Amino acid sequence: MRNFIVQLRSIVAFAKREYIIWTSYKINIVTWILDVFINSTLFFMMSLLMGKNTAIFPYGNNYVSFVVLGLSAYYISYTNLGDPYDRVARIYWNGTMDLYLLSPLSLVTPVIGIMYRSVLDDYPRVLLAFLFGTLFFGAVFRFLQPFTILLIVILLGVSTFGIGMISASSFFLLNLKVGTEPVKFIFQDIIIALAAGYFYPISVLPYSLQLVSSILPHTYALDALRRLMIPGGNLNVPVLPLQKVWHISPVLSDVIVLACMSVLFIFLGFYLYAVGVEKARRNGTLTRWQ
Amino acid sequence: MNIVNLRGITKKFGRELALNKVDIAVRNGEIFTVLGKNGAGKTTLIKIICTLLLPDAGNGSVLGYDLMRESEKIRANVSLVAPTVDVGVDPTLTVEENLLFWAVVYGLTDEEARKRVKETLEILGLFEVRNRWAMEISAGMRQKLGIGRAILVRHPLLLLDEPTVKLDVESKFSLRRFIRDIRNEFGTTILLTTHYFDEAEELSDRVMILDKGKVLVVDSIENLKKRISATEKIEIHAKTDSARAKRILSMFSRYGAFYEDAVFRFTVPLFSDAMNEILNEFVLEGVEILEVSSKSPSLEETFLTITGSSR
Repeated sequence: MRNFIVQLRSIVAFAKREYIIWTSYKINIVTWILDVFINSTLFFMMSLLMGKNTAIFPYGNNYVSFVVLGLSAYYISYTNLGDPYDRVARIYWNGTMDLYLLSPLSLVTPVIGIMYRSVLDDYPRVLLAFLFGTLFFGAVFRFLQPFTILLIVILLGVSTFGIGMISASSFFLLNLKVGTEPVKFIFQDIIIALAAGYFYPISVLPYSLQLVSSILPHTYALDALRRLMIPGGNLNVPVLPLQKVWHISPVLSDVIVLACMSVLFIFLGFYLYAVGVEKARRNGTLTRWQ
Repeated sequence: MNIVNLRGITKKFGRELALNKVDIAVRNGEIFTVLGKNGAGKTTLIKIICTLLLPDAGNGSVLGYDLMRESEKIRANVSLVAPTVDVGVDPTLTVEENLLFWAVVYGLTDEEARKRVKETLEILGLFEVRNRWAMEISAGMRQKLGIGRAILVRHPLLLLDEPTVKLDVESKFSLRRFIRDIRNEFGTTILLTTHYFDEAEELSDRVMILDKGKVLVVDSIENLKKRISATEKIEIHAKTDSARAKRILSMFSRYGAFYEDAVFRFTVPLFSDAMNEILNEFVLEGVEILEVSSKSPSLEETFLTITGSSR
């Protein structure tokens, strides 16, 4: 129990530290407000071109709302999936990896702790996307089943962090200290970029790509969130390949798949990270100092 | 009781043998120095002791915990200062914020953390700069801050890998005094690595000389000097001609006699009668002696002799 409290207090200390560091770069705040505003504007312009495209029908008929949710999932995924590798690299290169290992912290506590930097950097963008979308570009939302919505957001966060930890483990498992990390590249820059459905419904994709999108937690999270949060969203019409063969409520099937993916990816991520650290202990690549 | 007790530690990186059947025993409360040139295996040894690196062979215990089976317990009970860029110091936090962060990471309660941080700042002589960003203080102060982090928790074993390597002379001196104070104040066992002979000489109770992954010798500075310096060097400045010089050189070839620029050099057994024997011969030969000096080897010379790097 004491050990658990030490881990929690440390995570809070990390959060505080990252906040102090983050706020010391005042220019950050201006750049991310501009970044989100420009993104929102671009998609508003695209929505004017699209008009009322029937492809987004099961998710209501407001493309800006559709994209605001896509952008939100993008920001969460970009952080949780894309940053663990970079954060592990940061503590390796600045020489604190060994110090965390020589402390009562568990293997993953420093990674979770140092992720606050990414959370501070990226999560407020979700709120800004909602704010700009609603205030300036006509996005509208509803909050059907708010606990389900919250659960889906948490599951999206956990499952993408799990993939992020798989990516981070390659830092030690494959001894990748510089250059492109393959797990992150394949997931984030190829599969997710094409098939996650951030900016278009996956029903417009060729069927083969729709099957590829079935392995992504984003697909299920966005399907459920758009049905629940965009006015006019339909709770019954199946859209995803799995929903067409599994005759239960689409939102329920989304939650079940997301939960399974969360458990699978998070355990696999932590396991592979631990295996990577053990491998690095054997071959002498665990710490930078030689 | 030995705080570190390892036997037969061997580590290879590819084909390179970094450590070759190293035995090490560090006693409770001593300052033990591992001395060696770059690439001798010092850092590899320290990493194995704190279990950040697994040996290929060998076993033993650290703090009474089994090296292979209880590595987590060892890691949770040793402090380390590694020669990394900022030794765990975040440049964008103040000196005090840095220590408070690590105090929580080390599991101290808020109250303990505040008390311990204040104590540590005072011991370090950093109390006056506690509210300054770590990036604003000198490299020596940052190194002290790194050691301060390591002593926030009173672990019984402190590992210092090349602690003064990037410091100026004044900071080195101050840090060495500080290292001694830590041992005297808290009874901490300190294992440090260095390639500075004067540092080993000044700080250590015992020294291990490591060369190419092999332990050459382990002993106190005093004994080490005595053991190796079973010889001393004698220099005699004299006026003579080449014929007499040749005769003297051949007579004392067993003492490694050497003559150059009007100076005779001999390496003779310590505490022997060799000096008198040589001086008598100079007198008998009618050589005018201008100056005589003798010198025991420094630890550096000792080290060079042992590692076979002596000219």
